[in-house]
Amino acid sequence: MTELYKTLIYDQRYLLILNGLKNTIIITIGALIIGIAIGILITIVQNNYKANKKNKLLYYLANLYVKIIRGTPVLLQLMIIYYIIFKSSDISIIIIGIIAFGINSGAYVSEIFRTGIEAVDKGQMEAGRSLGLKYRQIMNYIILPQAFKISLPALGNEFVTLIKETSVAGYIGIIELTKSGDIIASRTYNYFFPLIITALIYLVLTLGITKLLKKLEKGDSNA
Amino acid sequence: MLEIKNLVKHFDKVKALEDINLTVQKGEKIVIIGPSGCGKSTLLRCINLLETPTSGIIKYRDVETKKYKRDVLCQKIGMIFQNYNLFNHLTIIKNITLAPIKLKIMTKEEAYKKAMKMLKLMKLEDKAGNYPRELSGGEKQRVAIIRSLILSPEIILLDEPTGALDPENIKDVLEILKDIAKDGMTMIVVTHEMNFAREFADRVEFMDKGMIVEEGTSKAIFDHPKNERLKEFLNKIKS
Ligand SMILES: Nc1ncnc2c1ncn2[C@@H]1O[C@H](COP(=O)(O)OP(=O)(O)O)[C@@H](O)[C@H]1O
Ligand SMILES: [Mg+2]
Repeated sequence: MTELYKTLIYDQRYLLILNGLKNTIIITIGALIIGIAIGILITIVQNNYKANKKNKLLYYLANLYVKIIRGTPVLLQLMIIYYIIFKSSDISIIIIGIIAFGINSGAYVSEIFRTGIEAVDKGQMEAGRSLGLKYRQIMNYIILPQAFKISLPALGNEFVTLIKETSVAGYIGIIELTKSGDIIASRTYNYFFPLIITALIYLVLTLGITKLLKKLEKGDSNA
Repeated sequence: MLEIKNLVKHFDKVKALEDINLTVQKGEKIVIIGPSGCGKSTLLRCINLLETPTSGIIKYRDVETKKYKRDVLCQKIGMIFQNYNLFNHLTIIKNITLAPIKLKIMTKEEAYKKAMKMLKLMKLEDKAGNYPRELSGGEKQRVAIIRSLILSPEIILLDEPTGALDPENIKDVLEILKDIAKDGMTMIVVTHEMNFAREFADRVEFMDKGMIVEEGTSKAIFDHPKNERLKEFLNKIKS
């Protein structure tokens, strides 16, 4: 009992955990927003090229970006962005974290969108074309709305993945949830409660969000 | 109205169409029959610019189809698919009005009014707010027909329009096709409904292995077939 007291109450350590939780959520949501923005951009570039063979260079750059991000560990990406790219800047470390995880997430989100677009029945495109609609109109009014709906569960997964992946942000000195558990453990010389408690918080978050997304999906398909 | 000369379409090694020649007059009803895989769909898709021919010429009103802007040509040549291809995420009324509104042929009000009128004619007015998944196959195909007709096409291509329907629905859709035909529409129909073909067609085209191997009136094709493969095909379909 005293161990639990030392972990949470003594020295108001619960505040440390709450602060870590706050940072985890800020970085995750910020990164997801950036990730979706980048994902949309990459998808536009890829589709423009596939549709009319324009902007070949941009297309190759987009593919290169996706390959590099998916082929390297997120922690390494974070370190490169922090220690090399933002080496001598005084931008807040949280912002750097958001940018790094956002750039990482963008590659995965673009893959999610690409898969979503490919999953739309190709008869939809043909029906649009046979009605005389332009490629862009078919994309905007027919393909993308359906692709987005198809992509929603995978986007939800990406959200959950990001929550967990941001746990490596402590490595560059961001005090997010995992790091705050670690700090408390190093002060109490006891790892059990701090680590189990942070793990439980992650679990509640991820399970809660998964459940919420399921509910949203169901409500959506009834509409 | 439509003139096809020496049309060839290859997909890599598959020779889907070999030297197709076909002329269609205004108001004519052409029925295309033939075994599966003989190139019927590919022919319609080439006319509708969904496929680019390997070689040959397709002319609509004496101008090559590839010289038209797609949106102009596709308003004039409508297409109906076997599996309807309604837009799944849009209500019936929106399915029908999307193209006329986006192509700026009608205002939103005009399009809705015309769509409702056409839905009423097909006794579908109470489905206007429903989604495609809430309709039966026959209803979906009727909506697809309206969606195409609202653009006032001059030719309609139909690729096995009843191929995915049960007998009850087949009858409904075929009746509608006959109604449309009465109004003088030029129609090219791919179908396996031989009774319908016989009654409906001004001219029947029998295709095999990418070629039109026999053509003639329904009487000539069904009662006095000459080509061996056509005889074989008709026998198979009867049994
Ligand atoms: N997109 C495609 N790629 C490769 N082969 C195709 C494609 N579309 C059709 N084919 C081939 O062309 C031939 C004719 O097909 P199709 O026109 O669909 O025949 P039908 O409609 O008479 O059944 C078939 O051998 C088919 O496999
Ligand atoms: Mg076919």
